[in-house]
Amino acid sequence: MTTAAKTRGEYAKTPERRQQIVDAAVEVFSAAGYRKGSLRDVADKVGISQAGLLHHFPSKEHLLEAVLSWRDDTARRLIGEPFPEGVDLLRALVKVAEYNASTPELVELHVIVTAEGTSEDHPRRDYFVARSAWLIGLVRQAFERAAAEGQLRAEVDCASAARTLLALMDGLQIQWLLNRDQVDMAADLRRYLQPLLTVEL
Amino acid sequence: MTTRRRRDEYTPPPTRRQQIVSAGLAVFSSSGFHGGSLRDVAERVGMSQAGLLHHFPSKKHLLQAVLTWRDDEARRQLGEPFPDGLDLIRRLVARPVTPPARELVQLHVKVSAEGVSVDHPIHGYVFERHASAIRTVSQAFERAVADGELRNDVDCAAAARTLIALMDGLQVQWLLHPDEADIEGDLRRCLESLLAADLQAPARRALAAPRHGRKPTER
Repeated sequence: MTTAAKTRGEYAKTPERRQQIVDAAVEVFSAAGYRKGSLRDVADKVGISQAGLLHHFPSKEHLLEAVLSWRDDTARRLIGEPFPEGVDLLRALVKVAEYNASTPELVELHVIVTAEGTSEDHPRRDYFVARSAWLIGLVRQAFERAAAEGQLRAEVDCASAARTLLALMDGLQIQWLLNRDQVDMAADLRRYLQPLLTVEL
Repeated sequence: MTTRRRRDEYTPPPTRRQQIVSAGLAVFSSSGFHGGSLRDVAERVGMSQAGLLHHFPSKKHLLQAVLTWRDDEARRQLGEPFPDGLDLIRRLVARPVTPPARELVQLHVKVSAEGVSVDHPIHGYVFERHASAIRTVSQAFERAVADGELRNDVDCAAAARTLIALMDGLQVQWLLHPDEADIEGDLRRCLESLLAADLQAPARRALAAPRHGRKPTER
């Protein structure tokens, strides 16, 4: 490390530093949950001051958004890029729900932060609107592709099915968090999807 | 509606308590329980925090009053006597979600989300409300099976979970994209596929006299 970098220290706006902070935030919020996790804990874990952390992420909202993006990236890796198409993408989403059941704190964080993002005056509302619109578009394309390949029942409305699948994934997360022993998110998703398809899910 | 007008003429002005509940709805729906403060509520009704504490000893008490009001209102909307079987399902599906209801939807979304944490002050309420909603809907499906309105291989408990989960998720989508959402259509299509039943026609009958949510101050 050069002297110049050393003097800039914790204020160095490098992608590495940013990544360190996000990694620490994932750990802190996964362990402590949404409310108890604090910026201070995150700063301590990285070994920087709170001011240093705020230099990278001006508020808890910004940091939480970065954690959600990290979670999305994890899901993307799980699905594999380039994304599979048609019914294969639907299968992959069910797998994501299965995987999510191994990360309850992040599911909780997702549910709470997304709910907050619905406010008209939330500073990062645009992010949540864009994320949701992107997901709906992606899943809609998957249904349309399945239809083109004759793997979807003729009467299925692709746009509606896309909204429904994603809404179900969100709603089931709440139920699963409330009742982990009794709710199987992936099984309920399959139960919804299978009757729409002409092939085995 | 004549009955409505006559009622309003003789309805006494809202009590202090009702005004506070209404202000609580506005504050909690925009800031959630954690972010909302009694101070904001007190300011909205133009009283001191001490005065407010006289009516509601804590933030939790006030939120509970807001939620009780919300639940009573939802029950009223579904009609008296409380519908059963597919009739209840049809009414739940056709319940209007219109922009004036935004505050209520927002409240539901935020409270359900915050309340999933076991250490949240209203976790018990959120847990019980979800459990009771699923129980009620599941019994309605069972009744519909018993009445021959549904095939007897329908998994009633799973269908109930699906309906409640879908309602929760679609409300979030509606808040994010109010112009593109179609809550009623999505619920109906999902249930018809899941239940292999037609939910459409009699729903029109059930909708003959829609009742919209009122704010506590409008009583």
